[in-house]
Amino acid sequence: MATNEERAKYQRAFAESATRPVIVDHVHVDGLTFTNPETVTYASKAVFEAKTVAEALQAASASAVELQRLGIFKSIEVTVDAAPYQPPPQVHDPSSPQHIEVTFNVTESSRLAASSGTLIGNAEVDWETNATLRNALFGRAEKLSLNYAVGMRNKAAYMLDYIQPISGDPDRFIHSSSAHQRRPRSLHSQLGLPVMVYIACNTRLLNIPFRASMLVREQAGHSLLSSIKHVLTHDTRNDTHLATQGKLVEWTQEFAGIGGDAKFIKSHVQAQFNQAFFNENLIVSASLWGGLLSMLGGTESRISDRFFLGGPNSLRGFTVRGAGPHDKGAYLGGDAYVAGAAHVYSTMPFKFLRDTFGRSLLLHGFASAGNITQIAPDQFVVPRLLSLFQPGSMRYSVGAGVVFRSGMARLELNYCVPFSAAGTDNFRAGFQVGLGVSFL
Amino acid sequence: MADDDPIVLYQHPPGWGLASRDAACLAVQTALKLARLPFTVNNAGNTAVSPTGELPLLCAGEELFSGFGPCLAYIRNRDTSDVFNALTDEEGASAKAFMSLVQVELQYAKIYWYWFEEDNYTAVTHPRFASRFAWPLNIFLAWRQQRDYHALLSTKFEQVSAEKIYAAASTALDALSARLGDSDWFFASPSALDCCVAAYVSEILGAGSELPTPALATIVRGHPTLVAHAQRVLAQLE
Repeated sequence: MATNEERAKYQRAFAESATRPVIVDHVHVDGLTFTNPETVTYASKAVFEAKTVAEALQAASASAVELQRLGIFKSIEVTVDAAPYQPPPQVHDPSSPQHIEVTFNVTESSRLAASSGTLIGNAEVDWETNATLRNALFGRAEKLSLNYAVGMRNKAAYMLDYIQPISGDPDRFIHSSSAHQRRPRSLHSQLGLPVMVYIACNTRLLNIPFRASMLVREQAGHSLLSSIKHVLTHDTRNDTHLATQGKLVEWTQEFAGIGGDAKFIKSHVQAQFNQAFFNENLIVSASLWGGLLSMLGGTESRISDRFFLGGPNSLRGFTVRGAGPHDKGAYLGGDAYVAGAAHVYSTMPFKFLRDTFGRSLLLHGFASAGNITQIAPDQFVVPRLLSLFQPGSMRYSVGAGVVFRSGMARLELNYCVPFSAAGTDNFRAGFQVGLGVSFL
Repeated sequence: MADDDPIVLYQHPPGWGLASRDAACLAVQTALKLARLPFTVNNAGNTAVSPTGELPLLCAGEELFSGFGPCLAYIRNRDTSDVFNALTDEEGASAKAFMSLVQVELQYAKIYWYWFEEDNYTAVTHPRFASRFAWPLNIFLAWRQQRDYHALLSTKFEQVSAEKIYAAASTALDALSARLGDSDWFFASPSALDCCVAAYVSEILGAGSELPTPALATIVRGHPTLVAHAQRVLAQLE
């Protein structure tokens, strides 16, 4: 650790040399193998404008930031050094400019990136896979990405994106995008057609903050879930995102314990009823969700298997998973939960608004309530389930806003007013944006 | 850091009659007892609890200390009986040097002995490691652990071979027994170095009673003063 005196010395030395005039002779970019050199010219040319040491350092780090923004480099190191060629020294003239050169030592990122993931939430499983080519076609920082998503709720979508920065400027680019969406209406739509899914996944809690709750920390590490899931759906709705007619009843059961670490039966029910009035200008909708995780063999449930409550598609007015059992900033989830909501949707009030938005933008009002609890292995299930309905521990929210329905998802903006007896819940009165395909 | 924060020691589980089967955990536990600090033990042996992926982990209030060095530094701070602050600067430096000798040479020899002596691995190490995870995940994790340990040993030894690694461990033990001589402790009174050496010696002797190839335990038994010293340190704390 430098003492104050030393620090002052360095600062003085820097202040003296900072105003020293310089001429930038060269800017090198080392480490380009498949990137077109023209791509980096734009970001690095500002360095030549520098007149003093301080300006050169500033310009060099600003250029490094611009280069980083192209998204094609894993790392960028900047070196500012005296140029190899120096004119004869004029020893007694400190104002004669020093010739310097700036080197950017870059490491290029891999050109192909592929990812695949499963998003599980709100009784919804989306499988998404993505392949991205960066800088691979022309070496001009272009990005081509193909995204394919399949959801359990009858959606499949492709999206192809192409982004081309113009002459290496990360702020100016051509972006073209094409999307295609498929909507098979078969698999889940009849009562009595069971759908079985086998799930095997290696669960690990990653990136736990250093000061995380020890309850969360103790659950870190590898564990293997091996389960069979059965989904029974009766869906007569005319639209999955904002139906005017019909109902949905879905019963999901998951049995884990054929090998693997976790042994449980997890049941989830979801019901939704929709009815339109006044020539479909007013829609009334009611939803009910409930879940129970029963552990087998007296073990305690794991965070990754539990239910969570809260979020713009669940209990509105709360942050995502922001309601329920809690320890030091971490929401631990519950073994049983129940949530219900009543919605009223109406078309826009004025004719010109109705003509503009039609039925894709609707006014929305809702009232919702929910509760979640943990069940310890030695506790009886029924009293714990009844405790969910105690008014004192319930979480409520009411709100109003607008809902925009597009083909792929629904987007809602609501002003929410939540109430909760539990001070540890994360909720706030205010606007909340929700985007989703499954919602309470 | 409050002086009354309850201390929880997350460690590898007990075994072979020792408070922990792992030397570093055993050393920290011995040091805690020596400093007369009250603590509770979590024997789950889950390394993922630790931010650095290693045990021992000390959890004191909001603070976490993982690995032998940081744990010891924390104990030294909390130590009111001044057991760990009795050494002169010179003795402290020499203790530090010996502790890192132990943590490198004996640690590496231990890893080789457990993971790369074929029959030790199949008879004890693999079954014990694999029992913590579900099949077939355990096969992959054991394979990966062995690969990581091989990479670790390769950083020190050009060729990962029994002779070289055991020879290095033997040299380290020679140096330790020369330093100890006929004394009861490495310095005038029990210190962190005693905890560290005793823990390693005890673990290796304990494991030697179970492993089919007792190579490293045989080397340790060749230093009777160290064996007696380890028994003395652990007996001191009963």
